[in-house]
Amino acid sequence: MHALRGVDLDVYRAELMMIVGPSGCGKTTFVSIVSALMEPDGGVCEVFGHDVPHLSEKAKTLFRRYDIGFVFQAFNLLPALTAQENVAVPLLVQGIARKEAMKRAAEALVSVGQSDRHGALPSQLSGGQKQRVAIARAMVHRPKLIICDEPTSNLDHATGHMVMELLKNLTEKSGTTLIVVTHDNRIFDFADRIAHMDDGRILNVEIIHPKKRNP
Amino acid sequence: MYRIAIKMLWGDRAKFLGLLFGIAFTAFLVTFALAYFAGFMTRGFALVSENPSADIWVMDPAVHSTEMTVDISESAPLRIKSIEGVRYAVPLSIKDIDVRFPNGHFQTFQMIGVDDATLAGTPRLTNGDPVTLLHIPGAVIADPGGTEGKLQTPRYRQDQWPRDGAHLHVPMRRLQPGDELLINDRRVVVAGLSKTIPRFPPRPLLFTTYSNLKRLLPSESRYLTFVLVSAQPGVNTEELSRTISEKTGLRARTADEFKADTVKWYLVNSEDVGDMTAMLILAMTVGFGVTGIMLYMFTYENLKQYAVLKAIGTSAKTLLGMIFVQAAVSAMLGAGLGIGMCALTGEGIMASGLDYPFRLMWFAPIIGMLGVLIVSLTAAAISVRPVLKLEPGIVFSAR
Repeated sequence: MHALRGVDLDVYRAELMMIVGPSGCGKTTFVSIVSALMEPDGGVCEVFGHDVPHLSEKAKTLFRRYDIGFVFQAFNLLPALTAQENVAVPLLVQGIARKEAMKRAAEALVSVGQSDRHGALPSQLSGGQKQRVAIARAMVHRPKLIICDEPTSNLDHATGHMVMELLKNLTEKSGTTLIVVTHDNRIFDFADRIAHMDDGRILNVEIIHPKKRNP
Repeated sequence: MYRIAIKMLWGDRAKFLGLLFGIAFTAFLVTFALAYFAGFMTRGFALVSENPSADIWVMDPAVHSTEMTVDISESAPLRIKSIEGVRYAVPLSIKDIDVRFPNGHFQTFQMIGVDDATLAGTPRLTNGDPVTLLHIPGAVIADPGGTEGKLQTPRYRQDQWPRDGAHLHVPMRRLQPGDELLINDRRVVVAGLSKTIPRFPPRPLLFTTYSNLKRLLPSESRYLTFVLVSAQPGVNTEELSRTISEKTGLRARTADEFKADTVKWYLVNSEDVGDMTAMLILAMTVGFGVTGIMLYMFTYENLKQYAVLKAIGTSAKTLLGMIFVQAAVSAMLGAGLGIGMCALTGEGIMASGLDYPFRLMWFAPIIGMLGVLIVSLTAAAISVRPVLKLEPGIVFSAR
């Protein structure tokens, strides 16, 4: 049994690509392979010139450390750390000194409008605040690609909308590529393109906002 | 990242405190059991401890403890005194005797015959009387030696030395100075009571002079169990003990060596020590098992957090380091608490005056700390496997 069959998709730099489809259609498997969290049985997956499936374990770790940011449906903030510390984690993983990491984390929190919550623990934050902190964490180390897994599904409509605006601005300002896996049709309008998946295949790719393409 | 590891540890207070309690309890259990064991062993060489003036103990070559002894020739002190470096050498006799109480009841005592001139090794009397009372003919000092209720004599005069047979089940009272006992059909007088270091195994003691002991036990062919040697100032006791051994053919050991010999003898020969060791091992196994499982569960329950860190790009080496830091910090904090609790308990026991064999020696906290540390690091090593095998893709699950 294969989760993905014959997926063929190009994602361009600074593009906001949405992957949509019913549960179990292979969306998460797809982004897991792209982000070097899972190995495919076969095929080619090239990300920023890296042949991801054939990278060594060490190279995959470095690839995720420097090139990828994650925003998860369940936020996945470390509960024992404050918002600022959570945001600083990717920098600390890179070996950046704590003082510098905390400074940059504070700046990232400002950019997502959470400057006043830097000392709060995740348990003291609302869902929207948690997701903003998660976005700050995903972007703090300036990755080339951010992968968002159902970023709005645990949020109400207004908060989800705000989160998507934040992500959209991010791609536009920093040129970061975004792949957003979602069920939430209320946010489709934020996408540059939408890939519709079902049964492990990409059925079609819909262009929402045409952009200059630079793969 | 190690700071994050410690924050993760401290972040889940309930789990961390549970873990800390488990480790502290284990450290307490292990340290306390070792202190208890050391306490018993200390009681095992109580005879040596209560003769601090003896630098060297001389005995039959086959004797390796204070517990199992055989007597040597009466001439030994004279031969030893003639060796250069010896300040003085005095006899000490140990005999197990049956003592009859005035109502006909009898009890086995260890009788200790001390040197008539110096009375070396005689414990202080509880009522403050001088130990020179032992110079009174037929005088003995009675000591419980770690026993309870063994020094009981009939309360009423009519039950003492009755002519109509033994009065065994009569009201009793504690032995007092002036009371009489019968040893080998000879009457002795209790000159006083003492409370010296309890013995292991516990047994009541009777101290008397060496000459009195010989008078009370005339049928023995030899009486001299040990010769207690005091070295002249500046003389190396190890060298002197070797010289004594060479010149007399007897076994001569410094006090510390003889204590160590006695402990070794107990470890090898005493069934009680075997039982205690079995209990100690059982306690350690249970404690260590609990600690290991709790630590493993702690790591296992945090797998999702490790998965997030792994997804973000944390290397396996760093994750390993984080888990070992968590284990080491928990182990050291828990062990510190446990050993502290143990020391406080020991202080409490001593302050309360309880006759409990507790002796916290230098090695007990070290073994307690090392044991907990090894178990914790082993548990960490086991719990590392699921973290390293962890599929970071689980971070995409909604829970």
